[in-house]
Amino acid sequence: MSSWNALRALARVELRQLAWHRGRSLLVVLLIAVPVAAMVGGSALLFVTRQTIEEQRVEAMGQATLRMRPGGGWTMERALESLPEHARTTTVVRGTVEVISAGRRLRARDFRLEPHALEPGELAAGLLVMNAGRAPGKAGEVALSEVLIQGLGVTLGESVAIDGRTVLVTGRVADPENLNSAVVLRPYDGEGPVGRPSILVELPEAEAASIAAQWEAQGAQVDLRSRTGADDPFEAFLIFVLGSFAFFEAALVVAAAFAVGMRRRQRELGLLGSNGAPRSGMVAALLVSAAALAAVGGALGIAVGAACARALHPYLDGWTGRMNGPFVAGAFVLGIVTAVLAATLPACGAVRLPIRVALSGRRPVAGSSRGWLFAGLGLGALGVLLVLAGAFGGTRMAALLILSGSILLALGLGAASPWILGGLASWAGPLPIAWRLAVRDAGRFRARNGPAVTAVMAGLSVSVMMAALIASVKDLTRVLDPFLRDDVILVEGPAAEAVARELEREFTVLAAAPFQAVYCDGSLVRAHFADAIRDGERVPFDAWIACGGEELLEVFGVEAAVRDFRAGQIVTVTAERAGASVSLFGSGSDAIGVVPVSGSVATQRLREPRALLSLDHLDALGLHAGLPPRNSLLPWLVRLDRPVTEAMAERARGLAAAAGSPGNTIDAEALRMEPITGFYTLVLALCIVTGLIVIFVATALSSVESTEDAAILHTVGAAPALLRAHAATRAGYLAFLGSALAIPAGLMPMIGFQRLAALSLDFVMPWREIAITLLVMPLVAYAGTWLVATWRKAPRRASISLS
Amino acid sequence: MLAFEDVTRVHGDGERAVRALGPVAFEIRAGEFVAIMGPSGSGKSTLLSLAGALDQPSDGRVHLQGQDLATLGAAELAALRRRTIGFVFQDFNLLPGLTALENVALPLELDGTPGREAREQANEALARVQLERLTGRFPDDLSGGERQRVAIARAFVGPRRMLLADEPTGALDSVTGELVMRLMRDQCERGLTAVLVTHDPSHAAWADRVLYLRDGRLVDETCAPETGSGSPVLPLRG
Repeated sequence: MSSWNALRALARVELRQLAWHRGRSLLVVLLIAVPVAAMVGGSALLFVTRQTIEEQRVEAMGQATLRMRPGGGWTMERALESLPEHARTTTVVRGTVEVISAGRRLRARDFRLEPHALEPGELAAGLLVMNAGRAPGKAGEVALSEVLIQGLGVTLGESVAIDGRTVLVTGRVADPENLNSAVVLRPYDGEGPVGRPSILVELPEAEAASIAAQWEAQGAQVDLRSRTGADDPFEAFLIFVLGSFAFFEAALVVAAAFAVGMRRRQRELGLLGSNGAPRSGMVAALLVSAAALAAVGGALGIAVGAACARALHPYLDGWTGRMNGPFVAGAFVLGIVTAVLAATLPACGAVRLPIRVALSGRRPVAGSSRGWLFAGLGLGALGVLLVLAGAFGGTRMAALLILSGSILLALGLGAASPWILGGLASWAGPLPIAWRLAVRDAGRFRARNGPAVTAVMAGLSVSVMMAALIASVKDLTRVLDPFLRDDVILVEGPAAEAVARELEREFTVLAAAPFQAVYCDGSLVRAHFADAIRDGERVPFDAWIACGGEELLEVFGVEAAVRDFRAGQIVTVTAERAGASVSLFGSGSDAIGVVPVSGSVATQRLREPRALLSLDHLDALGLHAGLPPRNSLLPWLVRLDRPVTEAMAERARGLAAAAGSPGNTIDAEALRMEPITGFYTLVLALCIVTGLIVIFVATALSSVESTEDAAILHTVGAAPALLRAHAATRAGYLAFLGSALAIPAGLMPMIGFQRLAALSLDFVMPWREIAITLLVMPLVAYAGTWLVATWRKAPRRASISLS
Repeated sequence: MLAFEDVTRVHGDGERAVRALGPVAFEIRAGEFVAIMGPSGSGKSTLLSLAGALDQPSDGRVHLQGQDLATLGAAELAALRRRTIGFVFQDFNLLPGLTALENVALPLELDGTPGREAREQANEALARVQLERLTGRFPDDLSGGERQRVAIARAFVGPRRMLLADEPTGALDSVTGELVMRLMRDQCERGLTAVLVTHDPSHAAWADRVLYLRDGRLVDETCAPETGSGSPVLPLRG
């Protein structure tokens, strides 16, 4: 009881301190609030951009509690017979069909449902949504999705052919989880299902589980609603890892803030000790105050994160307004743990000080930092090993190994920083006075300046990593062929043709044409160029084949090959010189045919499509047209008389948005790299700004150490400029050291991740950004501190102990 | 050398105003060693701060070498502290990041003296306080007496003519304290002007003149019968 009373008394002292030192308390609150807000906001947005478990369940089984697909001798009939009388059921048949209208043939996903099954309260409700017209109620009626209606050029009330039967289009249907999907909805009339049938069943949960077990034993495929749907652990893991990085960064600055606070309160803590306060009680009280600040910061972060996510929701589909509970709780707890861990070392150090020394107010002389050096070397070496293991080991945990190795390396460099500070201090003799004092002071108080250096390093290492990534990606893009010609605009979506016609009115257009991909029995056809030669080397490759009219040749700049095209030859749009003929492959491993290849080579190299075939020759070859691999129904290519600029692409985007139906998109080569570069540059800029904020906060905190020195300098006649230089040099020096350590800490993860990249990404050293990190950041820290020192008053007389 | 003309120093304003000093008026001649005594809160340290251009009077004028300190800007005051005034404090106030030699050379370096010349002068000053063998040590490696001798060496290094000492022996044992007082006396014999704030009558006895402060006002003044003798405490006048 007495120890509880002591803790309560000490905690009261600490909590009052928080109110008295509002600036420092606010700093800690903000440092915790920012990563909490990022995690809460990130998880909320994750909820928006990803299917929820309920959405996954509706997509799979509508409102049913059970879904059964026949198998292992267990048929639909036997399943229906085995159900209790009170069970509600409906049948769903899924498959693929070919839809034909006015000579256009398109493949689509086929849904056959019992009439009214999609109505509210029915078991298939939510599986598909009727947007216009009515659901098909009898044989000979269908509903089509928007892309089919647009692609086939039909309207509600017109007819199309499906599987050789003419049917009436009664409505427009949509798959709520894939609005651009080609979907045919037909009524299931109990006749022998063509496709994959399943039964949706509604039963009480316990009963459904029992039936499911019984059916599974018979060999049927059974999905229980309660077992369907799962969170993707990787995304959650990624957010937690990135959040942990932010908390790590915050912890370092929070540790520096607490270290400064302890230093300022050294006498007071000595006084508490001299009055009999137990060390454990003092540490506990200090940690309670840290937890209290973190709780405030966490609450603030949750509010800010939720508000930011809500503010962003107009730009995203499907905002549900729901928060991700585990993430919110996890971020809050992580915030408290971070603050408590960050406060532990300074708190223990402060109360370990002998009471006599604490009461004197003298700064204790730093102990040996060799232990930290060894710890740092150990952690750093382990980190490098993990990164290398991840990069070259080829394990499934590669990303995790690289990530954890990078964190360990950063921690190792941070742990070694006190030793580096101490070592450099012994070489400061020949330096000018301001530099000499800054370097020696940093070395003397290395235990408190180490976290500042580490915080700067952690902040800037992300910038270095991003810079290396951007440099490597840019290098790759210089080597890779572009996706599109630089003078071509690609239009995709239900109103692609209308948008293409608008573009013809807006710009000077040389050619515009739709294109599809070549299929064989529903499978995408790939041409195998076994004898392709590029730069004198044989480079065999596979490519899907685009098909269309002669305008397509002009769009791709291979109009010279029109005679070969008309003759049914494949026209290549590649940098490679193909052989005389090419083998075509469908779903199997056997070639389905051999087609002669035109000798024409495009004026611009393209990555895909690399081969063109006339639409008129498909039937003769036993092939048909279908969706291009981009999963857009009938995209159009529009070739302009000049390279497409970003402004032109923006104008085209505006025309697409104004086309009336949703889902129309614009693509151009000018946009392809720019958004990526722009995004990375934005991230890089954010990292640099974060790094600068960390530099200022960390060095401002550590500059408290030099307050007394500044006062002494004042009394011995140091000019105001020198006093400013003293503070600025300290900031610049710590920033420089942090920046220098950020380079290995930032490059190492990039070296690892570039090995994992899907494309063969060569590592490119970002020299310019490294120079900025090494020179500009310390200079900015120097200049910023100089300015702040100019605004602040000269050291007060009271800081010198005139008795 | 140093003259106070009806100097008053008030801290705070309105109802919270506290008169720390004054009005006081006195003059200290060049080469004189003056001790200031008085109970705690009598204004001794305030007086020393005003004399050393660390603080500005609320009223009245402080003249140092004929210059009114109120007319000088921050840079000129800093130059004055570099070239004319040296401080010695009870808790030494040496820069822990500099060696003894560097601490002593600091005012010279700050004043633009070339490094080698500054170090030579600092070496001389340290030799005068018998610390020539400890020049490379940092303050944390020195004893209290040694630190205070380094501080005294810094206070009179170069062209400085005025030494202001605030309880310089407060943190030292009596033997070391006596040594420090003898050093100050010696510097005055060489022409330095010294002002010593002390509680200890035995240390005040080293001075040529003792000023007594109470409640911020000069209440008494005593003089030594013969200067430079290091004679014991003088009787109070009045």
